[in-house]
Amino acid sequence: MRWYQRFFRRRLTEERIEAELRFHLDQQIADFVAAGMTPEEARRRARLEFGGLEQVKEECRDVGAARFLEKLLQDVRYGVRMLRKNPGFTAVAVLTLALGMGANSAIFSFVDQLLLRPLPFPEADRLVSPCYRSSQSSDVYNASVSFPDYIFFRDHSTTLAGLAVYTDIEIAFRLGDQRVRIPGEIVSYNYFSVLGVSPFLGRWFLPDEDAVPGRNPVVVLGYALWQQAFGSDPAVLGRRVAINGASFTIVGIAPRNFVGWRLDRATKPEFWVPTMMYPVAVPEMARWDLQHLVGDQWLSAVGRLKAGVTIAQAQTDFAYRLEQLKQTLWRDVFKKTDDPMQYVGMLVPANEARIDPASRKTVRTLFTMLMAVAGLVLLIACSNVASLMLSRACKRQSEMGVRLALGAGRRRLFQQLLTESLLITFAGGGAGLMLAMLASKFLATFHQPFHMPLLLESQLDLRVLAFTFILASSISLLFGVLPLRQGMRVNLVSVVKGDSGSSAGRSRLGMQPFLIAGQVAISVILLIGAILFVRTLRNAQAADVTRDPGSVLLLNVNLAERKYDETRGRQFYSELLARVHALPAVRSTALVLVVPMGGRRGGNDITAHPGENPVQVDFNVVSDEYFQTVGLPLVRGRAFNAGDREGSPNVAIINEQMAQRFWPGEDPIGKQIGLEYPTRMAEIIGVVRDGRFRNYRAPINPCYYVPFSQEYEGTMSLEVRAAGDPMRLVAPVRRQIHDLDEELVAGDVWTLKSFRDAGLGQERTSAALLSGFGVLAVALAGIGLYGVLAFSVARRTHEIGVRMALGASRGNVLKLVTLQGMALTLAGLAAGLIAALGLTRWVASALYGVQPFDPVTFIGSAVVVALVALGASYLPARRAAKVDPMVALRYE
Amino acid sequence: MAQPKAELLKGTLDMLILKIVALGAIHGYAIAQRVQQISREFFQLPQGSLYPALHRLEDRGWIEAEWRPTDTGRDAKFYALTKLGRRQLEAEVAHWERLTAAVSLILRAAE
Repeated sequence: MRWYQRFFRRRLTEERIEAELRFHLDQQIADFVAAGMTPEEARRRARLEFGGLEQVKEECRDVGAARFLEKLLQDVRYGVRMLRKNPGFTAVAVLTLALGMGANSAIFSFVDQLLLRPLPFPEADRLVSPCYRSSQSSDVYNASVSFPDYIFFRDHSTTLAGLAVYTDIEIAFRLGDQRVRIPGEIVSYNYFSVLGVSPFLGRWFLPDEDAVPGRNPVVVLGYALWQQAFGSDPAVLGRRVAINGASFTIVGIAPRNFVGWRLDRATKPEFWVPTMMYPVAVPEMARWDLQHLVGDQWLSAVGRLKAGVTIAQAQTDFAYRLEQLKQTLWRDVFKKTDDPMQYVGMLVPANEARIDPASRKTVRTLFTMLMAVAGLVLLIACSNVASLMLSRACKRQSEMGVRLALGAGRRRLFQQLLTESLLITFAGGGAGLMLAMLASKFLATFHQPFHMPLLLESQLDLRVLAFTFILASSISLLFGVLPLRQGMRVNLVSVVKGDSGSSAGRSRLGMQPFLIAGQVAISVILLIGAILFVRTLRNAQAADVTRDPGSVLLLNVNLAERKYDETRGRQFYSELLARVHALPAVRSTALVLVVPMGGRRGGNDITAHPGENPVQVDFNVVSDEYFQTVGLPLVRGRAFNAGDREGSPNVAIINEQMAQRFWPGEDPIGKQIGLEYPTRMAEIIGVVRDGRFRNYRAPINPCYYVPFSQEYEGTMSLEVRAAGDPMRLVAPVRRQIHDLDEELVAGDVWTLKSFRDAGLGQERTSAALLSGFGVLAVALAGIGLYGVLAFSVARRTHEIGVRMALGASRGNVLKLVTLQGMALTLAGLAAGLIAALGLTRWVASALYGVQPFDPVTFIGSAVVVALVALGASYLPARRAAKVDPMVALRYE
Repeated sequence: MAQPKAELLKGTLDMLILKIVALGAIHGYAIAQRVQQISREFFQLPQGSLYPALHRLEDRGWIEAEWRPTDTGRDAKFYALTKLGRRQLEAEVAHWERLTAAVSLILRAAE
């Protein structure tokens, strides 16, 4: 009877039971009467022989309905009892499942945010991000446009319904007495309408407000800023706020959670101002006419396709418009050989352009690697659970045999084993959920996980949690019910004889050796990966030549923002250096234009010998004590000093690379070089040790340094070498800055070490995750191996007893069991090493200073795994060696 | 002693019912008569306890039931063995034989 039939027939059931029992009684009575009883007696006798009528009815009714719940409850109770009786098994199974599920969910949620999930805008698949790709190389992108480029594309495109531009900025924001620096975006008036977002309050910008530089100081505030600064006051529209010292009118409030659409930034934008407010919002650029300057590509663009236009059509149109642009606006600005003239127009779907297209490939490679690693951990977890369940299956096969023999239904036993497996899976899933939440929080704390800041939420993806849960539970269910199958195969006679498997079980390890060898293989692969990436991180850190970078405090001081002129700026900087230098616990202090290892470099053209063509080299602007502060030794000549002033002869210090390149075999001290912007000559007075500028991978370029007293820059970084903890100097240094100019807000606080490491986010993420997973994998493989051997020893107690009785020594037994474990391990190691040889190739581009086939790493990993395996084999082997032959034999 | 006996009885009763039903469609009363004939000398079984067992076997899909008139014209519920039931019967008979073999083995070993 089908369940639905049963459902509809429920009302009938009662009558049917009644009718069936009535028929029985009537027949019985008729038979008794036929046999000669009186009807009265026959009825009495029939009822008597039948037993309790109501009770029977009740039992019949219960067969279908109550059975299920009651049995479930019973199974759960029994299951919990069994699991509590084996706390070790339960803990390992639950933990293993939790780790596998947790790691995968956490990592996938980031992949999803960065690469998969559609943007939270209406018809997000119609949004495109225009960018330029170099026709020379498919890997070189330029995702920036100038303001005139934007106006050209916006007004000429026939395929875009709208095109908007935007870029990240940071401003000093004053609110009452508080001065804070907050991140935001400078955007074209149509930015929000192109994205398809409506304001929470008020309005967006008007076309007219984005037409004349500096004319319309209007601002849209983010929801969070509005809440914090104005207590969600709806009357905020029309009020004024101070941005970089200028007064701006609030015209609108952005909807909650609106943070633009790019993810490659460190902080959420909290305000929006029109592009033409750049003279105030981006003071460094105030002196340029960005409205008409074609060469300055400082904006990113986003467009929306017209209805019915395909991305291919829009792409063709955009490429065509770019060619037009090259022939008109660009022709006057760029030379034929300049990079921009080689650009090809590209439209990238916005869903794929949340991160810089140039970085996308790296991010994808690394995430693929992390997903693969997490997948491998899940594989280990599943195989460990399978192996644990198998061990248990063997242990319980006699129990199952006995229960079957005593008439227990197979379906009943099946349900019970199912319940036990489900209990484990649910406990593992619960723990996995907690672990995933912790893991994603941890991942989100990485400042720059992929060589760029990323705006990632530590939220979990339910789909992947569900996916890993289903995978893990199918595994644990599949292997959980195996005892039943094996129980049915068992020889009943041997079960009843109490022969719990000395000989019967020996061959029953089945697929376990493969699972264990597989785990060993995966764990050695992960360990090799972990070591390669940890060494990459170490090498990358070692590329920084700064001495003890942890004790140098770093602060950006932006005077351009305060509209200082050169004289006032110089005065401010000199006074700041003097004041900070006088603070207690300060060893030395300096100003520098470009802080090394921060991804940036300064470049300038020089002429080393008169009459030669200018050559581009790195340059930096530093104050007198700079080399002393960072610990870069001067190899020849002298450092800058108080004598190198404005007006005194121009001087420069060069690095060894530059000396080598332009004056090989000569002493460069005293030579004159020609510098550009402004054009002047400078005398070389010293040579310093080479140091890297942009990052650890960038080649060391020839580089010259000039004193800040001879080349003024409006924004410099202050570096302070402390005698103790540099963080103790933060408050005193800030106080000095405040004393000199109370409106000036210094930038974020770093040490040179934290600044360098922030640029190594990708290396640190990879190293941390791979080491974590690697150690985990080795531990799981060790536990798995231990479990299998311990189980095998338990099953072979009798055999070991016989061997010992026949003269085998404890050493022989020890060797026997250990060799069994090591044979599995060696097979796994061989497979793992071969696989690793094939796999490390894929991450070669992410490695630094270490070869993908580094023999030391390979051998070291194999040795570590082998040692763990030896430990895991030794424990059960020792137990085997302790078997007392008399006890073992009597036990039978 | 009451508990193990009941357990044993339960499994055995199911097997007996299946065996009887295997001979052809038969109603509850007739099954009770057959059980009584076979088992009277070994154990006393209230006829009522047959019905929960029948319903349980039906619920498991080992037997199926159909209402149709008896020779006397009255409607009765006739039970017949299903394919699943036949397999179950074979398995239970095999188990039974193995169990009795085991028990006699023990008894002989204990001598």
